[in-house]
Formats: sequence, structure tokens, C-alpha cells
Amino acid sequence: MSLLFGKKENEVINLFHKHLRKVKVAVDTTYTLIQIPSSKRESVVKKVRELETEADSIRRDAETMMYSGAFLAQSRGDMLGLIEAVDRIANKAEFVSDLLYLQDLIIPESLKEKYEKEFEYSIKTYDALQKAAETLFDDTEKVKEYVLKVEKWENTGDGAERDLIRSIFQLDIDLAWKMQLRELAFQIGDIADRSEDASDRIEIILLKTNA
Amino acid sequence: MLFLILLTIPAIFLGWALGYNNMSAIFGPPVVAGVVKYRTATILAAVFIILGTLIGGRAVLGTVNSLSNTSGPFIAISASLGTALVVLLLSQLSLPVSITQGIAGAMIGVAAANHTANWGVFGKVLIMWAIAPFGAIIIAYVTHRFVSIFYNRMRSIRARGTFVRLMSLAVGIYTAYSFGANNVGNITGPFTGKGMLSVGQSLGVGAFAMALGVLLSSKKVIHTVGNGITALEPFDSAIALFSEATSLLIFAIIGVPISSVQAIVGAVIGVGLVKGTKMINGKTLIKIISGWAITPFATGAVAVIIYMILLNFWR
Repeated sequence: MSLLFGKKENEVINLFHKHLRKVKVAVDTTYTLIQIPSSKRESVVKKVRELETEADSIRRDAETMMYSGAFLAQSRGDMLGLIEAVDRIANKAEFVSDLLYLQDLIIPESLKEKYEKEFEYSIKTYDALQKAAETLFDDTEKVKEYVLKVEKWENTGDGAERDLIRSIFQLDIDLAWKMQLRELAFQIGDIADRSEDASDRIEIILLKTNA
Repeated sequence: MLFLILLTIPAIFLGWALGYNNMSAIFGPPVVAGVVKYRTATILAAVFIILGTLIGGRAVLGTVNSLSNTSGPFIAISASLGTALVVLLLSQLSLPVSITQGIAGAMIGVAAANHTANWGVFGKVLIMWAIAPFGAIIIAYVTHRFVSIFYNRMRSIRARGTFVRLMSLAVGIYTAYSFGANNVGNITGPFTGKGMLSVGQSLGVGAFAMALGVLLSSKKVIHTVGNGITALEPFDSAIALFSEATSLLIFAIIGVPISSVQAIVGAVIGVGLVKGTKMINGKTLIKIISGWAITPFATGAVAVIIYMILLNFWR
């Protein structure tokens, strides 16, 4: 309990930023799985799992700190919702990496570029979210700009996802493989969707802090 | 001395009940938000209720007392005890009850039975009661509009957080002060006069009783008797409490006791108007208004019965 927005809040914010950076590394690491041959995936997948576990641990520390008296009681739920929403992005990155690794999913050469493109849009969506979250406590106007960017990149990613799925079903390959590839496209797109969900929570925090 | 102490037992009970039940309308939001610890809040509330009573309670004390052209222990005991009994009964039935309206109803009832009612003063009080919620609505609306201009210009959530914390603590202190100033008349007003308590003694007893009420209030009360105030966002609840406090203080200066529930309901509606939200539903409003309407008649009737019993017993 503190009259000023002080030490405890800053500690939670630092953990929150650390969590965002960890999730970013998890997403970026997952992206490399699209580019490398399937035989080299194991160590990268292991790395993604470690990053996701570390992100979980940071999130738990932040939550514990939050409920030891940081922030006004009414704001804690929103903050908790935000950090959990960001954490779900790391979970999704882990899911994508498992999907590639456990199913030993081979991406046809002709689709590689399109997968990379889709993933890049998901990364751009996450980057905009990260900036929105990092500026949340300091500049509400900048946050709004980044939130708009999140929406923009998520929409662009949706287009890339549709284009990719169309291309998948134009290929002359087994239906099962097509389904696997389509699932991968969905899950990569879900990274952007979850980033947008987190950015929606940021918008709610902004609305609630406005008089 | 013993006679004086016995005389004021019903008044002390009313003061205790006022303090106990109104802790949420004084320091509820900062406690719920975690800005101030519950125990610290009760101590701050007690201190500032005492200050408000001693510094600003004189005018209201006179008004309650002047509802009857004559005063005396029987009138005082009947009014105070009658109100206490009705408050206990209605509270048990979970009906909204205003001690302010109760005591005024009881005083005018006994005075009417005694042919000494000062209807002019009562009329003034009734008009002020009708005005009070609208005053609170206007104060809340204007204050919210004005303060939010500066608040929304703060681009940092850190700065906003600090601002809201300081504002809600300051407003809690202000509300405690205004509450003491406006409510002391309800407690010891009837007991002030020749052969009873002096003005100084009345203020002292009233302050003690209300402070005791908030000190003995429980954390649970803050959540259960919140009048919806603690459910608001911290900024909005601070504005609502500020408006309640300002209404209480203005009417304390005018010398009219008003119900803090009336003030807070008006204030919450005012905040809702700014936000374009309906803060209180029709059913709740009807329940509150019917509580306000029933209380003075009920306390008046019970007080008259007690008065008649006392008179007959004495003879």
C-alpha cells in the first residue's frame, strides 16, 4: 500500500517488461523453425520450451508482487489480464514449435516464402503490442498509436493467412498434409490474434484510466 | 452528572450507528482501492469527524433543537430513543433508513403532540432535503467535468495513479470532516438546552459517539453498506465522495442536517450523468425514496408514544 505510484509498481512494471522481452525471444526463435531444415529443429524447439517456461515464471513473480499491494485494487485485475494475455502468445509460440517438431511437418519449398511472410506479420503485430505495453505507463497517446499498428498488422496477417491457405489447397499433395499445413497457417496467424487480444486489454486499461 | 450520562445514552447509540454505518461513505473507496489501510482509515475518520463536529457543527445543532419551541429531557429522550428504535427495526428489515430524517421526524412529532412544533423550521428543513440530492448531482457533474480536464491531460498512467491515490485520501478526510459537521445535530441537537447539555458538551458527546462508531466499524461494513460507491472506478468514487462531502458541508454551514445517503445517491447519479451511464436503477431509487418517506413518520409516531409514556409515568 502506497500513496504514490511507487517502488512496488515499478518492480511489477520491470517484470512486465522482462516478460514481454522473453515472449519476443520465444516468438522470434519459433520463427527460425520455418527457415531451418526439419532435422535441425530439436534444439530450437527445446529452446522455445525453455523460453516459455521462463516467461511463465516471470509472469508468476509479477502476479505475486501485484497482489502484495502494487497498483490500486481495481487495476490489478486488468493488469493481471494483460500479462496473462501476453503469456498466451508465448504458449502459442510453443504450440507452433511443437506442431512443426512433433508432426515432423515438412513445409513445401513453394510455400516457404508465404509462411515466412505470414509469420513476419505476426511478429510485426507482436512488436507493436510490445511497444504499446512498454509505453502504457508513460504516454497514453503513444500507446493509442501502437494499438492501431497492432490492428493494422493483424489485418495484414489475416490476408497473408488466407492467401497461404488458398495456395496450400492448390498444391498436388495428400489431403492430410494439406490439413497439417493449413493448421500451421492457422496457428501462426493465432500469434497475431493473441497479440491483438492483449492489445484490446491495453485499450480497456486506457479507457478505465480516463475520467 | 450521572443524569446527563444516562440522558445521552440514546444519543450516543445514534451517533455510534451513524459512524458505524457511514464508514463506507466516508473512507470506503480509498480502503477498497488499497490506498490506505483500514485501521488507519478509521483513525483518520475519527479524528476528522471530531474536528468537523467541534469546528463546524454548531449551526446544525441549533436547527434540530429549534424544531420544537420548547426543549427538555422528555422531548430529547423521546426523539432520540424513538429514532434509535426505528433505526434498529428498519435496519433489521434491511430497509434503507436515514437517522437525519428519523430524528427530525421524531422531534417534530413530539413537538406537534406538545403543541410546540416550529413548522417554519421544519418546512425549511423539508425544502433543503428536497434540494440536497439535486445539489449533489450538480456538484458531482461540474466537479467531474472540471477535474477530468486536468486528469485526462496527464499522459502518464503513473501520474494518474498518484493523483487518484492522493485525491481519494484527501477526499476521505474532507468527507469525515463534513460528516461530523453536518451530523452532530442529529445526535445531540435535542439534548442541547437549559437543564441538559451545553453547546460545548453536545458537540463533545456527538463527536465522541460518531468517532466511536467509525472506530468500531468493521471492514465488512465497508463492502456491505457501500451504496454502490465502492463499485465505482477510483477517480469517479473520489469525485462522488467529494460531492457528498461538499453537500454535507454547505448544508452544515446553512444549518440543515441532511442525510449522507441522499447526498451520496445524488453524487453517484451526477457522476453517472457525465459518463452517460445509469448508476442507480429505478427499483433501488424507489426503495431509497420510500425509506426516506417512511422514516420520519415512523420515528415521529414511536417518539410520541415514548413521550406520552414518559409524561404519564412522571405524573
